[in-house]
Amino acid sequence: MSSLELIGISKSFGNVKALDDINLTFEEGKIYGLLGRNGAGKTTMLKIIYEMLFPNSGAVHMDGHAIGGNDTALGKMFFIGEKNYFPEEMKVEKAFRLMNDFRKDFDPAYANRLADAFGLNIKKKIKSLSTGYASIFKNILALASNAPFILLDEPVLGLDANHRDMFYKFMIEKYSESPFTAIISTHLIEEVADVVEHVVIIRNGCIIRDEPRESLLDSGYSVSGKADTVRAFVSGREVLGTDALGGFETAYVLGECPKNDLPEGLEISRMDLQRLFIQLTNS
Amino acid sequence: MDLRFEEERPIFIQLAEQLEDGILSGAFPEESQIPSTTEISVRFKMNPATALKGINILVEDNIIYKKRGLGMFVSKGAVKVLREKRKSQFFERYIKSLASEAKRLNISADEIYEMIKRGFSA
Amino acid sequence: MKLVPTIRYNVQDIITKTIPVYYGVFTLIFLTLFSMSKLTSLYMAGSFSGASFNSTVLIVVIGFVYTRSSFRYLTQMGVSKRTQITGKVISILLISAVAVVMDRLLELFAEFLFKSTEMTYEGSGIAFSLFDAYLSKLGPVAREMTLIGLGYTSRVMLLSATVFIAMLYVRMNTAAKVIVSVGIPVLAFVGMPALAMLIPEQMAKLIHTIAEITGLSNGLPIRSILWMTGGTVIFMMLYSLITRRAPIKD
Repeated sequence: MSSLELIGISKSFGNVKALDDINLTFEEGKIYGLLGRNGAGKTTMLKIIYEMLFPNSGAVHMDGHAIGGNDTALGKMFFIGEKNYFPEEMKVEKAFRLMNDFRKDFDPAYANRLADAFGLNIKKKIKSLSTGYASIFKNILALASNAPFILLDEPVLGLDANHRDMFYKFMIEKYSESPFTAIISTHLIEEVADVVEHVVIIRNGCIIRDEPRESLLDSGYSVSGKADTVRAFVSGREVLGTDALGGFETAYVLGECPKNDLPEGLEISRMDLQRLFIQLTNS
Repeated sequence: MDLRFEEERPIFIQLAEQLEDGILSGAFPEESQIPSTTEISVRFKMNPATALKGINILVEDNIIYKKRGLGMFVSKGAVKVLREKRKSQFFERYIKSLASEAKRLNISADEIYEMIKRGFSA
Repeated sequence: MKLVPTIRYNVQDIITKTIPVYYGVFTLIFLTLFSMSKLTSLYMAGSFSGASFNSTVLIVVIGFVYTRSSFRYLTQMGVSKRTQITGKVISILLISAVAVVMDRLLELFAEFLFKSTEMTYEGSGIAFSLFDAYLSKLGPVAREMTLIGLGYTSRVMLLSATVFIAMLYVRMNTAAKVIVSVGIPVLAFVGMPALAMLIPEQMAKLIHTIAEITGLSNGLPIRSILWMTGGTVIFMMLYSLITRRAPIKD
């Protein structure tokens, strides 16, 4: 069993603390959703794992050993980010060819099949690709890398709805055939809500949630009805936030959903991942 | 088969119910094969572990069974079992909420009965 | 191991594209000059020195152009910094070797071509002007070896220095880049002459000592080879030091 572990990772940029004592374990063969608002530290964390940035303290371990510049450990991962780190003049087909050179598990036939399916012209220079096709190009590299851990930072950036749909389907198909660990950081939470198995929520450089999606969704609920009834009901409970519309109010509450002792006129529902995320990371 | 999921209940339970609907409607006849976990998860962009969880609910209820190396098949007599199960849930799921909404709107039981008759003949 | 693909990535384009094009251009220039002097009645005479026609310019360009992009690309491919450093050092040694051989071939070609004309090409001009006395005492094989040794170590040191400076630019922020880009020319063209005016004796002594140690003033090429090797080691160590934990800036 492979595992990827962050131990006490802290990182500052000048006076700004980007990550504060992060401890996390990513297990083999699971799809993780890494959620956080802009500037929460998602990209910093992924780049530290892939040694594109170096932490001020802490270490990243692969299979129990500090990665610390180990090619084998780094080779078990593949990171793609918003930015393009490929040389200006390189063409897509050359990038595929070189990828084959550097990573023996890369599957060029699969990469070409995906390029075909997405309509990515492999004769084009990488820098001349549109935002959407640049994302597609990087996603193809990641999916075809066959790395046990793929780190996807905003993989669907600039993709239209059809291509996003295709991307998730190809990813799930590949995952079903041979499971890998994917850590997906994205703002389009609704779309990955059913794809991910485990959710990590990061806020201001700290991990505030790290649990299976189902248990996370079970950890809160919303209750709506007349404002005073709702308020009476939630008093003494942990309220994340409220939405009011005239005398009608919805409160978002943490805790187990009380199915039975529910006052008349109140309606209880499960929160979806997006709503729960917004409530947990507000303010 | 098309699934439109709402967020009210866990997605694997909804998947199980949708598969049950498929069996009840005859889309998946008894002794026929149902789509694989991979097909289901790809089609609905759902984590395969979640899809498996939904399918396993049906396996536990003996609605479907596994043929080694071949896939999942609808059990003989599954439709009958499902009808019984759904009937037993009918009061909880439909009548209770029907009654509470009717009370809110001051609709009498007799009026509802008339409406039901109308619904059946439509 | 990712060392082999790393070295291949570093040198492949340079050896298969950049270097052939670079020397191809000079071959064409020489051929044009040659045919002009033979086919036209124009009287052409002159001498070209190695400094303007050998790989010096090429090496500086290679060092500056490829260092940043290969650092980013190799990091994206998951190549550790350690392997990147080792790969870079080996690549410097390889590219310099190819360059020095190409320079010598170009020189032999030009000598052969211009024999019957009034033109001369002195590829190792600098080496001859500095070490003339020493070199003329050597036999042909030893002289060739010494020339190649000088050519090789000077190119290796130049490329190491360029790679280190290019990497320094990758690591520095904008303010530091400006300070270095302005500061070094100011130091060289204002500071040094100013010092030479203020304390002429001490400066002259310093320059004399440096020239002595490096073998420039006493015509000892082995000393030059040694100090250039030492310089190379220092540049490579500095490069390694700033690359080991180099972050990728967006």
